[in-house]
Amino acid sequence: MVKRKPNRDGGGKRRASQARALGTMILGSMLFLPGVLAAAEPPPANMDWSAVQKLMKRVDELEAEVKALRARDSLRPTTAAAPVTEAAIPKETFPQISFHGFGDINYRFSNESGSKNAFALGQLDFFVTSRIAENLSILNETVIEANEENNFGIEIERLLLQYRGTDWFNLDVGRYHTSVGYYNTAYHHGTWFQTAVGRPQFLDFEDGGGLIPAHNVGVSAHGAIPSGSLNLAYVLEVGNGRPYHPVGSAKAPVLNVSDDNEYKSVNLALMVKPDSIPGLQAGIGAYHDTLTPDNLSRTDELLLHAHVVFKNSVWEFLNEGFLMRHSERLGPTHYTPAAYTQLARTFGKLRPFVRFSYVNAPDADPALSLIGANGLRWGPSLGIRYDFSDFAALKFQYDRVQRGGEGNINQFTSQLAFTF
Amino acid sequence: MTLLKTYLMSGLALTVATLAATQAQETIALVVGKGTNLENLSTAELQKLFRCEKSKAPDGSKVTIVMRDAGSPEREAVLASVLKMGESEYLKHILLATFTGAVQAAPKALSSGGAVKQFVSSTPGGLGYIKTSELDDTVKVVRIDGKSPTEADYPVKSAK
Repeated sequence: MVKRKPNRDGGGKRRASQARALGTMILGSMLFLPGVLAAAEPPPANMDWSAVQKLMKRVDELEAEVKALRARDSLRPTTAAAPVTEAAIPKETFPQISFHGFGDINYRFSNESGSKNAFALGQLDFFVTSRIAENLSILNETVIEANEENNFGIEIERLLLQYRGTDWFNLDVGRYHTSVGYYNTAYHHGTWFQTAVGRPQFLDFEDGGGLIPAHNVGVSAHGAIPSGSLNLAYVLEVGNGRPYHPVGSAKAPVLNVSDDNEYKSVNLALMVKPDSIPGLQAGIGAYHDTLTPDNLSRTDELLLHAHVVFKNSVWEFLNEGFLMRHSERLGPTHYTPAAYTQLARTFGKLRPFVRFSYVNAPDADPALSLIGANGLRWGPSLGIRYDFSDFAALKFQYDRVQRGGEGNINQFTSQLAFTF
Repeated sequence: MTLLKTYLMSGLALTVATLAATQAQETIALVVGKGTNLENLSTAELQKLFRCEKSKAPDGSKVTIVMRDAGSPEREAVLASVLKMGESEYLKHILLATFTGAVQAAPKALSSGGAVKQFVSSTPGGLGYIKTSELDDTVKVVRIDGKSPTEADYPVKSAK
């Protein structure tokens, strides 16, 4: 019986020696085992079975010891940590600027009256973030795009000073995308992120005839609400709101530097992302503003919004519903319901998708008539996205839009979307 | 007796060979600085921290995540085992989180286990991961779901 020395320093050498001996035995037995077995004779009748049992027990003990040594080795502090140079850890300095770009190129044809098939440059989106202090950063998204007259224009889509205090309270000040629903905050101007070629039509931006106030200038507070595994979160936004200028007006559709009245828009949204169902997010919210469009009576605008979204690496299931109420102070009240559902599944680099959207904005709503967002429109979209690179995708989409009182539209769009 | 010894030796050989094959993979340990109070994190908490959805530990202390460089086995193991993501999916997730304004910047990535140890030991709230063979007395191992890296069902799978 070998007596073990309680020598810690020699433990490594002893273990190495054991391992070498063990290795030699294994190799030897593996090399010579077939020959030995071939030449073997039956065990003698007078075999000492007690000795056999002792040997078996010893084998079990050795196995246990090997396991214990391996486990101890895996957590054993190394006696000499490798020296790390200062250069291995970049010192944190500010500002830390990060730049990304997004772009897309489209080809579209449709049977809509006056429409001609055409290649079209989409938005060229420059996205810059810069950490200027431990808890402060700047976010800027500037887009260059051509209008229907083929002239390029430049617009600051987002410009925010962001304060990241705690998980419970963060503050953004500047021009932001409103937390009205899910799509408007999950997807901004870079189409590369989106599965489909674009937004549901009624969620389009203000200059595209969209129904919702997509942009706002003001203050946004957001953070988590202590709720354990439920992961509740809130967003509270106060801003200038959206102006209602007639279609074709020279005035901008976002109140960037001045408001057209003394009222401020307020949006409160609550979201939940339960740990028990990873990928699920649901939310509700209410946006309120008082509108004072030219030549129209003062109107209270209330936009209720709700969403249920499930996203993981395979599935994408987006569902959103909106109800807009316009109450004229000197006239009737108008309701506009809108909703869409979108389902996509990833098969490797391919992601087929289907979407169905619906909006019914009454013609009698004078505010919506001003911005050209009224009417009944609904229909399906079918498409497929092919990620031929980590940073570029090709999409094909067919849309059928049924319009109340007007002809239906069939439209096909292909899009190359990329980031750089 | 010769035959018996041969049988016994071959049994031992098979056992040890299996153990040796297992050691070709190495467990990844979650580490913090020695002075950090963090002892244990649930998988769900770890996912939120590495996805940059949260920046605080359950006790309210600030956590600063540090990653290994893209392509390192340790990073691949953490992405696969904890986040259930590949590298490109993780990059896309961080880019989207930055784009939406939810994240100020992607987590810092370091090129070696030594650099990770130095970062977590010198940064209050620093949380990183290294191979268990790189553990030393400058860092402390954080259990995941109450399990330490020596336990069989430790959730961070080994890196090759």
